[in-house]
Amino acid sequence: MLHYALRRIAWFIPILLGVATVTFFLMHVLPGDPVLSMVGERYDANTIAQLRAQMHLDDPLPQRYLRYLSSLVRLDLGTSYVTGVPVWDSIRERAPHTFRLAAAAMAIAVVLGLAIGVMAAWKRGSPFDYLLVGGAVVGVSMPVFWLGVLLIYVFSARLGLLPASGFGDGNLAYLVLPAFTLAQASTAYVARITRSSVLDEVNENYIKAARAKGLSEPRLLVRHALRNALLPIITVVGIDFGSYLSGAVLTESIFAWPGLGRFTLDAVLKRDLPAIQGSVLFMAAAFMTVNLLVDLLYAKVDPRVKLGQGGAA
Amino acid sequence: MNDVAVAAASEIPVARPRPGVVRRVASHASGRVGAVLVLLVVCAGLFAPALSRYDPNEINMDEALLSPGLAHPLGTDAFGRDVATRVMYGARFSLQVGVVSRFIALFIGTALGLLAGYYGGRADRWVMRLADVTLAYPGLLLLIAVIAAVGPSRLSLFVAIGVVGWAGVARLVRAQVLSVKEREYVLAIRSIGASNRTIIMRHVLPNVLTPIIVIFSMGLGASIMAESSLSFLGLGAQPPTASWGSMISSGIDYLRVAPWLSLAPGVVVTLTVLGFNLLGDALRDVSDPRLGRPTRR
Repeated sequence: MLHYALRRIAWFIPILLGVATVTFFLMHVLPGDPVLSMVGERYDANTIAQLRAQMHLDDPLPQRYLRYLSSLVRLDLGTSYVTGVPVWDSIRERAPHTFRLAAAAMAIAVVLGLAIGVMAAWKRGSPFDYLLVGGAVVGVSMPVFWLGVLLIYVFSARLGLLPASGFGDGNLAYLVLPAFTLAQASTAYVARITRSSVLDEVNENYIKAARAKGLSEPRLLVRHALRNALLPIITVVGIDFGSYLSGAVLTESIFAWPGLGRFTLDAVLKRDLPAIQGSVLFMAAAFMTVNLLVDLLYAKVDPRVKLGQGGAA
Repeated sequence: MNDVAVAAASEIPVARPRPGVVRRVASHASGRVGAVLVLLVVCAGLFAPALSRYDPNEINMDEALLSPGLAHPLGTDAFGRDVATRVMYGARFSLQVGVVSRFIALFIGTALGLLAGYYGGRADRWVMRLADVTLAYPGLLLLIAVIAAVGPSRLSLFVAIGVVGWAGVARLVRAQVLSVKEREYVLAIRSIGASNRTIIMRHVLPNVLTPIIVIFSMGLGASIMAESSLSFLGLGAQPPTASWGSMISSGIDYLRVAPWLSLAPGVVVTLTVLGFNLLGDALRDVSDPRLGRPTRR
């Protein structure tokens, strides 16, 4: 297991290098002048030329690429064109906000998704089951940003119960709507997988034995079937982490949440190259780390899983 | 058709979806719902000019922010434009972006997947490495980066969503090719001296076509979702083009006075994506139940 983890971690480096390279060339080969978006068009040509020289924008591309790589090796993500703050500092400041939002959303998705899934499995074939399954199917198809707007409309504009946007210095009330928004697709997904994997277990012999012993159905499902159905559920939650990061960009921009997603979007809109590269790289690394953790957890939960046979992918 | 026949049929390699695929989807309960939803959206998009007497972009401040009523079933927006009309033209935009970008993803993904799966070795390693890098990005983030680089426009949406979607397709096609290329009929045709090109184009490709069509329809919902997300962020359709995402985002400012501006297009996106998802699932079920869902991104 240790061997496998180390090999996977070693594999991170070429992939991150690939991500860094793709992002770099994407940002640099194409037209658009970051200096102009920085100072506006009213500045005189001299100032602009000076700034360009300062930022090494006139150097040939390969040279800039090498400079970028060598600063990456020193773990230096550069300085924002717009704010002048080192990108790493901004990321460090915002990442906890995004992780807080993602953790809250993940907790909601797991608790709610498991509950809905098990209830649907318990009442399988009933109208209640169809309602829950139908709701889950619709939930997967609903755009994150639209649910956000809907929740703001109902709970903030109509009922006036919760704040519509902002961070509120960490006040929990501000976390509720963004967290539910971000959790939506994942909740629906977890519910679907939970229902089907619990139902897969229902016909196994150990369940029949437990039922014969006189266990009540809910208890049977939760204590026995669900426990064995956890494996696919963990995978789904892990795979979905990427959708949390994508969803964070949308959720944070609706709710004015000061996290990484909004930071990245702002950077993109202002063509702040170092900030874009830094945050994209950081999120890709976070995504890959979570995928690795999920795989390791997988082996922990189910001793039958043998790691390392499928290669690095 | 009984179970034995279905089981036997799925063993026989087929060149294209068997005749009767329409009938099979029609007998699939949720597939029927999906097909109806998709049909409605496609008709709304195709016949938008005939279905509405309003111009989607004509500004008429005298009629701004009217509540839904007889003249305007979904009300009007802040510029007095008919929301129902704009929703229909939005269908046009979304479908266009969805279909074109899916074709791009499919083309690149199929070509590279065939190469990787058929030739193996170095080609395989490089293609799969590139796929790993593409999939290492959280989906929307890569899209945003591509759009940021090329600037928002209809063409950028086509290209960005298409190019970003290739990796999933390539993985699936490669896996299919790996199983097809060892089948007897491929070995047989090779033994009589057919060139690689003939084998790929005439024998391997036709046999991986069914899963390709299935992932085409399954990915359409995701592409439309991506388009509306980007338009919502201001990186997709540019004003005054009507698109669901941008309609939802510009409606947020009027949520208290005119909630229909955001709510109506949102319902339509949801139903459209739902339609394509249901239809895709149904197509998968009737063509080959062994095909898994592609990972959700």
